[in-house]
Amino acid sequence: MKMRKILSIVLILMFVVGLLTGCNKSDSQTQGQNQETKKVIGVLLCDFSDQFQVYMKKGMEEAAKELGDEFQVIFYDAKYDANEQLRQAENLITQKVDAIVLMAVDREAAKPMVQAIHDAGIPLISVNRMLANQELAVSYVGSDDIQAGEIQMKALAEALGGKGNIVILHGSYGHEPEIRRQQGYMNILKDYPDIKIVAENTGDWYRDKGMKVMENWLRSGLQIDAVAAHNDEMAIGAALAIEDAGLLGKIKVAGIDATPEAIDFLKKGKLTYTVFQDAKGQGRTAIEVAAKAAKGEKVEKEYIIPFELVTPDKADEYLQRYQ
Amino acid sequence: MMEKDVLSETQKGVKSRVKLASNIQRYGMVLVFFLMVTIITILSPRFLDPRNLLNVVRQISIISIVGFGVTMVIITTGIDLSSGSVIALVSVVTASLAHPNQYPLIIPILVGLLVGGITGLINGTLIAIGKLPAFIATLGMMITARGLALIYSDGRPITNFSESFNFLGQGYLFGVPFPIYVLALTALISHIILKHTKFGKYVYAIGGNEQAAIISGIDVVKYKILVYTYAGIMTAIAGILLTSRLSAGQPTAGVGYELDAIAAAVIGGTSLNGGIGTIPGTILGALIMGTLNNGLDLLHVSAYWQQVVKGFIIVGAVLMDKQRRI
Repeated sequence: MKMRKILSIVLILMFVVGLLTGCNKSDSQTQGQNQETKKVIGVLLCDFSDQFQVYMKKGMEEAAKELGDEFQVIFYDAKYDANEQLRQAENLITQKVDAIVLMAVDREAAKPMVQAIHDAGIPLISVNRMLANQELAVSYVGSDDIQAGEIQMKALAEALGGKGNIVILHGSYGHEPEIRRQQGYMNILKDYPDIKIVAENTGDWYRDKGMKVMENWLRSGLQIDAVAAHNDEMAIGAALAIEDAGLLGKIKVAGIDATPEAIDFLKKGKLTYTVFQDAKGQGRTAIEVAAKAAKGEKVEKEYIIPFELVTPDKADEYLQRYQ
Repeated sequence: MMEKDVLSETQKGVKSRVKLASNIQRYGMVLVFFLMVTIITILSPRFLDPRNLLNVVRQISIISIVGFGVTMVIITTGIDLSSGSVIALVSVVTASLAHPNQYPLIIPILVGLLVGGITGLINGTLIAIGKLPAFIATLGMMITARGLALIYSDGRPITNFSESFNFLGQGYLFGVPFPIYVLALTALISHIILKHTKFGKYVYAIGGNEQAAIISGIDVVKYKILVYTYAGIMTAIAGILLTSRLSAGQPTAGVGYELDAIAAAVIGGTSLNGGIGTIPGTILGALIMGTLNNGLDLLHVSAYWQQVVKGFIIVGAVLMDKQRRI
């Protein structure tokens, strides 16, 4: 019995240690920031596991390296939890960091957090997603998702000759990019009355869910000429479903983000288009702007990193940007 | 004389009512399922197209396989929240060993099963020996396994698989998708284990009354560990299939799958209070959810409403579960 008790305590300890080392990497990085001379930039991201944010973080890390010893950049992962992000922001405010770069989980829920950062006198740079109370931030670095939707739908509409049936795979309903990319679609579609939306559903940004929905549509007897997906993961899911149904090449598929895998699918002819959002460029610019702001230099209100259409013949060129 | 007759009449009445109730419990969900199928078929005759039926079964195969292990766990009054994250961990590890001309197919499969088995073993040990609540132990594993998947893959998908590995999730055998064979085999094995072995008998005994099981000499610690390990292995099988099906090992794979698997088990009649549950029931639960998804898409019902309908079905199932305990 005693043995069992000891064993259980050891196991629990192992577990706790595992949890601490496994998950709180970002918090532990804050420990090194005691050196008073360094300027500290806190970066609040939505989710480190998201492909796009992985590359954005890479760009940030590169920029941080180039800034040298004068600056320290700390990263926080909110795991798409708005409350967690609020907690992290409060931490940064208490630490009196010199600048905060924020990719808000939820632009509405972020309002009080943005106010608090502003009240603490810390310059705030929003990245990738515009804030609801953007006027309280010193700058916005990102792209305009409406533009992404417009570029993608314009290309699809022209490829269809201005006529045909399309289905739309939405991101998670209510997410900022879902709303804006859809807005972009609608801006284009109003000029193409002969293109009909025959079905819409959400794939929650995930490949497996996008695939399931597409499989069901393919079995429903719909005449589908093209799939417009709010991101590449769902577009890849749809492409896999189309391939499985033996309809490769008969249905056009377009995504957004231009992830390396999507570009690979483009080369293989399984995707028709994707739209490049310069993740690294956004990350890099955000850190550069934050560094300027931390030193008290003047920065622009907006730095728009434009979207670009990727066609199969330009696949290799875009793939190289990830090297 | 008279009194005795009345008494036996009442007893009979109670008995037949109990029998009716248990029949409703056993066949209630089957009725719900056939009702659903009938309605969907009337609204969209394409539902019964054999290719669509195969499509539905393939779609539910991954959740069902996870559900088999989860069913056993729930029968012991436990819970497993780690399935989704373990799928991700298995997914990236397996994917990294499944490139063309790298290893024979058996290697990624075995290593994947091993990873799943170890996570289950750790869950079981923490719960049975460490006396942690299953909720906490598997929640810890849920977080840790996701983290490990991200570390292992550096947050990026792992792609480019051998032909034979691609076959597992994407291939067809005699016109039937391969995952369906895996589903059938794992269902059969799980069912036999649960209904026809000492192990299965002990699983029900532990869930029915753990104290009584200990007193009657069952090695509860050992069997609890075994149950969670089995669940881990089932999850690994699901993870391997999913990886092949998606053509990528993704650290973000399987988000929310643990809840779908638990829902499949509970809709299928597994009681969250333990002691009750079957493998055919869990397949039925998964079929109900899969048919709903498929049918609502065939009918082009808005995704907002799809969620409301699914919520109703799950609540309805648990309501029936409650009623049979009164």
